[in-house]
Amino acid sequence: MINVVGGTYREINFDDVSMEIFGSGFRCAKFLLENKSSVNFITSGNAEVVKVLKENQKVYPKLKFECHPYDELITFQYSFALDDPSIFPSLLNIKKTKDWEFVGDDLIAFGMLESDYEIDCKRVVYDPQTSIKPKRFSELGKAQELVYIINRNEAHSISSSQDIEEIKKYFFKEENVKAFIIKNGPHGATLYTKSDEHHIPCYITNNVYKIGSGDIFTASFGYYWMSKNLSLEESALFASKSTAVYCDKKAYIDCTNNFKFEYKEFKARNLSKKQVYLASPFFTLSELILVDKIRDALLSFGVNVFSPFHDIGLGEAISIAKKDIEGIENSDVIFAVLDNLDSGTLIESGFSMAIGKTIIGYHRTCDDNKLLMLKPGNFTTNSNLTAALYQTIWSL
Amino acid sequence: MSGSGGGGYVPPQRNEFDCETSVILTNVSSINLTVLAKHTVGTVLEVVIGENGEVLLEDGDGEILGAILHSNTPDLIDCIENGVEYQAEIQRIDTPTCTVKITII
Repeated sequence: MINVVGGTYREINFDDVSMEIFGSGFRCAKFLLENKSSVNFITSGNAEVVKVLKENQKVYPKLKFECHPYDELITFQYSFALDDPSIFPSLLNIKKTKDWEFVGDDLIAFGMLESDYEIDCKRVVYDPQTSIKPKRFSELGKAQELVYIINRNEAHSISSSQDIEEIKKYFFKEENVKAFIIKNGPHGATLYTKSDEHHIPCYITNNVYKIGSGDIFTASFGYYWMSKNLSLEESALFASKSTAVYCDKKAYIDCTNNFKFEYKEFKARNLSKKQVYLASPFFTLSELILVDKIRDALLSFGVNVFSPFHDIGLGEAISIAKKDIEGIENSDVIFAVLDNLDSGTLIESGFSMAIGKTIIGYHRTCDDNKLLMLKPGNFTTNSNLTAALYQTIWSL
Repeated sequence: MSGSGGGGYVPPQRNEFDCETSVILTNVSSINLTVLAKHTVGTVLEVVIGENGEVLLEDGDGEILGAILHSNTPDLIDCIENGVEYQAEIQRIDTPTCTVKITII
């Protein structure tokens, strides 16, 4: 039996026009249940959450749950998965449930927006879930063996340091961890134990269902470590594989069970020396918002971005066009926003094709025939923005 | 008045389910991969209620492909209990994921 503490939330994603009830806690429970584990799930929620959990109980008889009453079904709304979500109610207006305690053996615990809890368990995998004032495990309770799973921002925030040696010292001395894992997006992750460091690779997938991928990493790591009794390193390596399968297929897979795993490792290069040219119209408000968000998402990977709107701005047409051409020549890959078939974007794409650049196109509405002339080039398109952005990074 | 505070923005809500016209497109949960291997895109399955009151997909041989866990599952159960019959057509197979479209018969 694995105990899971975490949120059950509504998730809306405009990128693939989806609306589902998951949240970190429930997604973790789902991974474990699909892999035939017994799960005791502790969450908070309203009547709709209870209804969802009861429906799941009919399909998964190994699910037990306890739902602490809460007025709202908290909603995370994403324009696309690499953008910051809007949260409803807003963080300032989220009320708290009564605090509660949990005592048990094996626990996977996620930070929650609406609930604070105390823990006393034998083995705990803890994922604080927010880089804005993440709660330290030492504030929550006790564990005989504790593994933290965090991203870089959370590591910096919890340890109050950017220096990895200081971070290691903090986690091993102050938080008394057995190990901690720092996730680093497409670059994979690093598992730190007292005596060793292990690189955990990230894999290249066709689709990138990113929302919830971090939850699956934490859930599957806990599953491999607690249910299958694998070592910490093996658990982290298989967790990365389970996460890749989830990102590609939205499937909850135990990769130790003869699963045909066919994804290639992403060999991280120094992205700070690479440049993406962002070809996009920027005339309507929606186009301006989109180009700004795409640039922001690309920059967050650590790559340089040449965006005519941001880097040249408005001015005399001929000099702008010349600078655009220079920008393309100096870039490694072109990211083209093709919706509405803007003439400037198509000329940028055509010129890029003529000089042999890789072009990653993104659109939701174009007729494929209208893009026929770009097809002889090194040109791919995707209707999912998150997947298109990852493909851009993987092409570098 | 828009933007004046009060209740503020309300995100999109769950679709109201209509027994006669609504369609559910979803991945199959708790899938039986042995049963999945026998089927292809376009196969039509029966939508039935299982022993625990869950929504299951049954093929022509009486084998269960898996279950439907969707935000409209409770609505679907209500409709089936009121005598409406549904079928599920396999839209996409990317093993181990199978996507089905559930419509009224």
